[in-house]
Amino acid sequence: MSRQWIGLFQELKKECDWLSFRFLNEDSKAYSTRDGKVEEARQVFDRGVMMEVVVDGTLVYAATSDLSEAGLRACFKRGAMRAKQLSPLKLTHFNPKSRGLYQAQKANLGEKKLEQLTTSEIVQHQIKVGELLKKGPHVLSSQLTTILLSTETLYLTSDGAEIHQETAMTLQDMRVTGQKKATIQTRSDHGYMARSKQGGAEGINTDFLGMRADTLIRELNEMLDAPDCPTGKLDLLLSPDQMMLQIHESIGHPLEIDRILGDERNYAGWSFVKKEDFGKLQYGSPLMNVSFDPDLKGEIASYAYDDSGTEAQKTYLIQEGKLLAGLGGSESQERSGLAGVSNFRAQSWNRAPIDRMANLNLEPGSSSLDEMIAQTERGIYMQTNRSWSIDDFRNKFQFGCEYARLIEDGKLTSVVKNPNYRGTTVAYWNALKAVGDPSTFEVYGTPHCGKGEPNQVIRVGHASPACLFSQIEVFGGA
Amino acid sequence: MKNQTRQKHLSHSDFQSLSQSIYSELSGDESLALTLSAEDSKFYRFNESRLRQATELTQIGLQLHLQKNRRQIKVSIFLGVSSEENKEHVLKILNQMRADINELPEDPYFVAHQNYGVSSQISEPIETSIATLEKICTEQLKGLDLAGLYCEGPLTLGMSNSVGLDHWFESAPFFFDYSLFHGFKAVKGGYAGAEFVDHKFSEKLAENQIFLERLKKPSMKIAPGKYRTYLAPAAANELIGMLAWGGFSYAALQRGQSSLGKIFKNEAKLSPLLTIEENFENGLVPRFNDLGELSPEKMVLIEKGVGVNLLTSSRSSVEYKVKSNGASMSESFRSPKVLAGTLETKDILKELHTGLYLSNLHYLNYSDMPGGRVTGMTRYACFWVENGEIIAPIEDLRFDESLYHCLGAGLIALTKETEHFPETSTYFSRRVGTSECPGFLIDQFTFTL
Repeated sequence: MSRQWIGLFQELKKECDWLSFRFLNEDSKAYSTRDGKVEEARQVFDRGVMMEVVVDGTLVYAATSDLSEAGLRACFKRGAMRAKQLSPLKLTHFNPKSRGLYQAQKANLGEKKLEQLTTSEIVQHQIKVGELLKKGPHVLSSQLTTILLSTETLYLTSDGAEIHQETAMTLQDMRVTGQKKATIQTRSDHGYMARSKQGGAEGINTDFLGMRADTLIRELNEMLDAPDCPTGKLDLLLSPDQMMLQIHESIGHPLEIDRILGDERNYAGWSFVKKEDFGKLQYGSPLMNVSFDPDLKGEIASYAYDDSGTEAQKTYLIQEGKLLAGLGGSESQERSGLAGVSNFRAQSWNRAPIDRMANLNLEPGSSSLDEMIAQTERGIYMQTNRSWSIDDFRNKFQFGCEYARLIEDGKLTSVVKNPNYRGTTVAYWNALKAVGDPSTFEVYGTPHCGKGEPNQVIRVGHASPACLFSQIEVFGGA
Repeated sequence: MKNQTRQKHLSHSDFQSLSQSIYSELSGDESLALTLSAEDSKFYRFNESRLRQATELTQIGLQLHLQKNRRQIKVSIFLGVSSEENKEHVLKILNQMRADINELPEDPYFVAHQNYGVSSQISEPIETSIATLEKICTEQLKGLDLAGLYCEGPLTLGMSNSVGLDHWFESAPFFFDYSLFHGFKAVKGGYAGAEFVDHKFSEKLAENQIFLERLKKPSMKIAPGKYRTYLAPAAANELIGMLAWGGFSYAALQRGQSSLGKIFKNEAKLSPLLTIEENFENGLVPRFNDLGELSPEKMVLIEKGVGVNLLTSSRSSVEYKVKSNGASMSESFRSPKVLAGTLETKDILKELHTGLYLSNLHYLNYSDMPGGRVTGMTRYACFWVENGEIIAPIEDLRFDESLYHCLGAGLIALTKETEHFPETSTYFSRRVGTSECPGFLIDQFTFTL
């Protein structure tokens, strides 16, 4: 890709103090069906370049969708001019050491090429599953979406880095809404777009979707007949498809070092975590081990190098409950003096990289699901996120789930609807009393983590076992 | 000092030429719509009153929407400024679409492209000089801790189709969306418009600093419970913003995904004080929607607490056999306006008497969407008020409240003055949009954590 511009890059790098080009090609194909009928077929062919232009220690990002020679030259000129003009206003001086020096070529395109799945095959299968969902006795509507995504980046720097990375991804969503008298409920396949995976067409298992459709209908019917979730303090068992959200909001965001440094204070918010907490804060119970893992097979935010060209490696952020490292790329590490990871990532060619989650996982423990249920006298087992809200310092949260069953005297009993719970981050994680073993470990992701000014969404992966928390405040619906 | 700046992306005539050259290649059973979304943007991000990240962006996006034999497909691509290269690129994509569209089944709720007319609205771009920004940083922000985003530059939305439609909207708004901090406490500020005027920004900063001074007192911890609460216009606007999420959508109501289902099924009423409109009269938002239909200049959605109109797209019109009203495909409002009430600004604290004054809310979400219940957090300048006087800032509180209460029987008064809120969302591209809202005085607002 775009290798024809390497000569131009070599020429332009001589006209400033430091330069990088990050070319991006991203192709996505999305197909939605509703109630067994086609709703939308949409494709995006995203192309552009982001330049990092440094003059007098001032870095300006300059981006364009005009990939002609004239377009690239104009973009560079604008960046160089602005870097000179903005120099007196800068917060930090650019250090070229914050960018990697690697020459590498990496690809994860999966076992089966995405092109092997045809438009017709995907849409016809979704229509078939949609027909199955429609047969539910109380179904109001159902929706299925499949997205096939391939991304290619080329990163070049003045210091000689040349990194070419290619990845393929598949994303799927299935949901059904039903109504019985005044009760309306929705049941989905593990939450919105939670089946976000890295890899090729093998990630789309059409038979599996049909089987899940039966399960969703059965559980939807249970929810429509269920009483509301009780109010009070109960032991709370969370499935991996809710742990995903719990990890994301109450571990991932507060540990982002750019948040701790205040960059996000006007938008996403600050963090209750302070620089001096690293190495000291008992974030959770000793059962809690959290890793940044850019190399877990199939997890959507796997990569070899981030957008500063630094190499991504598995790193423990929290071990035995103690906070060790933050989610900050090389620039944030330099600004803060804290240990971090390679997570300086941009949504696309048109945005500057910032500190993002990538794959952020809770490591498995030693309890089976049955053991966690058996040890619970009065509790509730909640599955699949449906609502999320947390304060700007990432302390006080309230999360809601789709499906829940009570646990009474060590056994799963009746289904309850509108299950919600709330708490404060550190107290909550210190109430972690059991962590599921590898048999309960599941891998999910989301394409929609929002942050940054200008705004960016990014794909993140979260893998977790089921986990049991002690005496959490739970409650029901309106 | 202001400079007029020439757009670097496509002009209206460039777009018309490109469109016509593509439409001339269509066969008789094909119909195509082209939607241009282009920007030349400056994004200057501030932390500690200094420039943290600066991005200069030229982005020219084009959506092709091909229809053939009641089938349809959309493809988005990115362009340069060369007419010949753009034409070649678009034709190549069109040929790919011709192959894909044949693989799709007929769309049962198909809405064919139509000629909804011609419109053009152009505002001259005015660039803020770097010297002005330097002056802001070195003089006006001296001694202040500011974080935020300054954004400006030409912005274009164009739409045409092969049956004659031609809409053009060109604008160059700026906004400075910021927060001023004292330790961990902050006030929210914002300044937006067509031209940055130094002294107006200074006035905004001075207003913000009055609240910042009040935040210097130690914070009070307020126990969860029900409190008489004043939501300043920014906070009220956040609450109303939740209704964009299915609240007024005809389709969402049919599919069990509306938070105002009881209102539009005539099972409940909101407060007679509350009137909400979709209102394009200020000209800041293009009236044409994603099909090119022109929305009415004004449409009442809630009138004195009663649901009178739902946003109904042409697609819903075909599916549910009802009349459409120019709504976009998402059936979300694009320019909401909540009509003012009678509460004078000077009387707000007196009428609140004892309770909570909330300047802003944060991270709202439905805790029970069909039940109409919303949760979220207090943020920025929020205070405990006793006997009509501000006593102290508060520690952040979580609320969880039914819309049927806080916009219904619990709504005591709306302020006489409203505020305008420009769209500051920049996900994928800069948006155009605006909303207008007064402050709300609410009785028995529920705080849970």
